[in-house]
Amino acid sequence: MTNYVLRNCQSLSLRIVSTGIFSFVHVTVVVLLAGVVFRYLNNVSVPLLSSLISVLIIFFCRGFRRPFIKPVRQCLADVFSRRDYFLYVITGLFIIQAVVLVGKVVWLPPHIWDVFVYHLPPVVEWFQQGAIPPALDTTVARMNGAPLGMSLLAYWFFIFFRDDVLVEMPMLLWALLLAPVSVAAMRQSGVSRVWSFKFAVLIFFLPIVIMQAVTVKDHLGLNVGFFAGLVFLSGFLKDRNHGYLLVAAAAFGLALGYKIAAPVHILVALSVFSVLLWFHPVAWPADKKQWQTLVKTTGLSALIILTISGYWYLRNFLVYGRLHGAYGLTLNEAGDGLVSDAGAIDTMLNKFGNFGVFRTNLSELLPRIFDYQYSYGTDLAGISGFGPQFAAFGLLGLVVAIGSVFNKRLRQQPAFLISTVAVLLFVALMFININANSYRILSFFPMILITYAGIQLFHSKFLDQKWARGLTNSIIALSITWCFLLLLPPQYTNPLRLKEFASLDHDARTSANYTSWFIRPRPEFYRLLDDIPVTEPIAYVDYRGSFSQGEVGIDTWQYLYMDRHWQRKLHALHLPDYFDCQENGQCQAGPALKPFLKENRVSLLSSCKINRCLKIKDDSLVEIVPGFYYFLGDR
Amino acid sequence: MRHKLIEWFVTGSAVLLVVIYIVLNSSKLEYFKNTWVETGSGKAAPSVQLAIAGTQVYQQRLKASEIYDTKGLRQIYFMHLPKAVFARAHAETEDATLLYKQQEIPLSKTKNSAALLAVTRDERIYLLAEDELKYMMTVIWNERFQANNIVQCANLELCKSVAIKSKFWGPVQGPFLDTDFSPDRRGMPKGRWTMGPKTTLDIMSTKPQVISLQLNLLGVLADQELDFRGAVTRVQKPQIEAEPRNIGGKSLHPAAYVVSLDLKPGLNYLEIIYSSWEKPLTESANPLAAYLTSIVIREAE
Repeated sequence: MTNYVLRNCQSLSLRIVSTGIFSFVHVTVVVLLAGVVFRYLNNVSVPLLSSLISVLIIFFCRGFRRPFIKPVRQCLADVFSRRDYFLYVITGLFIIQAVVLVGKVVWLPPHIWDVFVYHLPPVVEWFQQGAIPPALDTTVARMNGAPLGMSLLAYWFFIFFRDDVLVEMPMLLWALLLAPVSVAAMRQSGVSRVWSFKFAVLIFFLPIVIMQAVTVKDHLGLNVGFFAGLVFLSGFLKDRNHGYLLVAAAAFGLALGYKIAAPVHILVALSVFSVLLWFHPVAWPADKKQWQTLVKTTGLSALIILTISGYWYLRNFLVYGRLHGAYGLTLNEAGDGLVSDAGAIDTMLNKFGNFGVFRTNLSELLPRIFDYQYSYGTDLAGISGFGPQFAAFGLLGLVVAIGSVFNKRLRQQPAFLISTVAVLLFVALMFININANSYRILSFFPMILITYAGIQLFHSKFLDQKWARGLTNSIIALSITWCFLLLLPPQYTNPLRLKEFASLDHDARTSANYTSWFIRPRPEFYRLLDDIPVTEPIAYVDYRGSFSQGEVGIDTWQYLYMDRHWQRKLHALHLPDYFDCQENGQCQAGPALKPFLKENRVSLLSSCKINRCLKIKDDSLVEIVPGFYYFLGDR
Repeated sequence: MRHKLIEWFVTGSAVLLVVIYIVLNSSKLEYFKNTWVETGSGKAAPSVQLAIAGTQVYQQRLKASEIYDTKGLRQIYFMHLPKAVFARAHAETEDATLLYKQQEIPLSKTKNSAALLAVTRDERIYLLAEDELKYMMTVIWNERFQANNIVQCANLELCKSVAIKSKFWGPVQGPFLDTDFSPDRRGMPKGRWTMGPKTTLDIMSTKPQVISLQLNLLGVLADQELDFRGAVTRVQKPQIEAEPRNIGGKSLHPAAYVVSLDLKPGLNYLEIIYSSWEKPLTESANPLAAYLTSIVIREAE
């Protein structure tokens, strides 16, 4: 299919990137079709539909086969025949790091809080319901507002094993795809293969990439997809290959399907692209035929984007009457929307008029970029995760990227589009995002600016000098070694118990047993969970308010209740429907509780969101461990 | 010349910035080293094998449950066996053993026969059928219901006639594993923190009686002495093993006192006055004096 779409493209790296993107699109469309359209989602329908679509693609694209293995082998032979021993070493480290990451994906359970809150709980629901319903019964607003494209991939990786062993694989695949994306961007700008490889490995080792690669969050997929889309857009400006626009649309479609903030990314990218297209001597259509082709391709691109990500926005609009769904809704404890915000566009415009956020972000920029205030962590609390490589190369890239606007020679480079979009988008997001974790979404910035620095260093002939090559190699080696070592230990766990966790039986290696968030405040509850038969449903009190100080997060972390095979059934008990609570967190069970528990054959009830629990008083409920109750009623 | 200057500027900046980054983040190396050391010092989960008539029929790894028995001495574990295996083990309990930490542990049936039980020095392991929940919940509730106290009585009659309360001690906590996430809790036994300079115990007695209280504690300072006031008639300090214990992020010093009390009916007081206590580093921190691990009530000799 890549060869069909890209036709005359000779770039191996672009073909690899395109193949990766089409694979993600394939999975996304298959799961959406089975879950939303056919409402028949299981381990038979998904592979069947996937095979059917694959056969159709093979049939329609049968005349476009091109060798793949031979060019890859030639490319590698060419790179490694240069006897650049440094390249051998970092390639070795790249392979080791990739293996370590695969090991972490396989061995460690999901362990990031957003994943527990809204990335995986919907997937569990889809699996248990055998379909993707338009809205889920929850007070977690993000579950009914966020585009859940990454969760679709997680479903794909669950369904074949019926085990959550590989649910975090999609982000790792995106991280691995980043290497060919970086190579493609640099090769497009005429950088040699060897230096493209070196900088691509350096970018792969960005702490923000390594840390997020073993989660099933969305930021990395969003930004690598976005970067890939930009590379294809700049490729179009260079070669006027209309196939590039289609691949860019597929990449942008995936990005839009991953994050509610993605429209800002795409808007900035398309704005800069349109301006550059207008002034571009090659890409701007010269005659009517070229115009027609461009219009057709643009229409087809829009259709591709709509097919891949349109469902989430359409669902939001149909269910909530707005494109960002339940996001920004002030919910009551029953999960019903009480007050909505001003709407996506108004909110956005208000934020752009607020220089206070921008100023604060600007004052925090250097401490964040240098990562020194807090330890490395996937949530990037108080840090950027841009690593030493950004300090050495990214900042240089930033200076040149800003300067390139005023330099005609630099403006004519294909990478001008990419670097300009990166800088503008970074500034735009500095107006919108302000919180301890706000740099999670900025991973495109170091990826693109280090790429850009590599391009400029290569073209300035700086790397022609032996001492400069040695120095650059040394900085690359130092950065890679730093990131490799310091990001090697697993995160968010108790290292003293890591050996115990690793030696447990497969089914006991759950999130509840691994994560320090859980085993710190109430160890006995979380350690008890995998001793409870999976056939026993658990009801949990679902609320967004807080009854005590020190409560972590406003949303319930549902995933921790789950067994690895997602067999346990969970029931949300919306607080006001079932309990009468005082401000101190003391609650009386309401009349509706017992009938509900009996009707649903529920014996176990959790009153905790994460680390704080409500105290429930009722004669028929016995507190087994803090916040965990056993229902004594007739079953 | 200008080109050379730019080159040197770029090179110098890159080197300088990367050095600044690494210097600023040097504490992360220490964190990395500590994580590595802690990971290496952990222990694998022990394996438990169920054998019937010498043949192994089931195996499982046991993780620390952190659910303790009433006295806080043994951790309680549950092993859910496949129904057929449980039925066979139940039928042939005399021939069934658990192989655990290279020991063969005999099994016995629980009172209601809902489970099989193996008791070791540090563990109580319940073997249940795979979908058994009710009995499991009963066991946990029963143990934990009685566990929320550090006061022990030599006989039931004493517990009925004497009750000890205080507004001056912390909640009952622990025991905690020596691998607990929080260094402040790591390895701590069940107990309550008391604070300096003194702790007042309210002792309610239903009748006039002479009793003795044995206070077992871990003092925060080596040279700490306790003085007692109130209904006290005599104080003894029995010799106990007094090696300091490095737990809870502190060096704690085991001590015991036996205090004889002449109680009148109604409310009596016992004041514990500490010769020294921990000086808190912040205003909000508590001036910890001792960690009371148990108070044993006996009739006075």
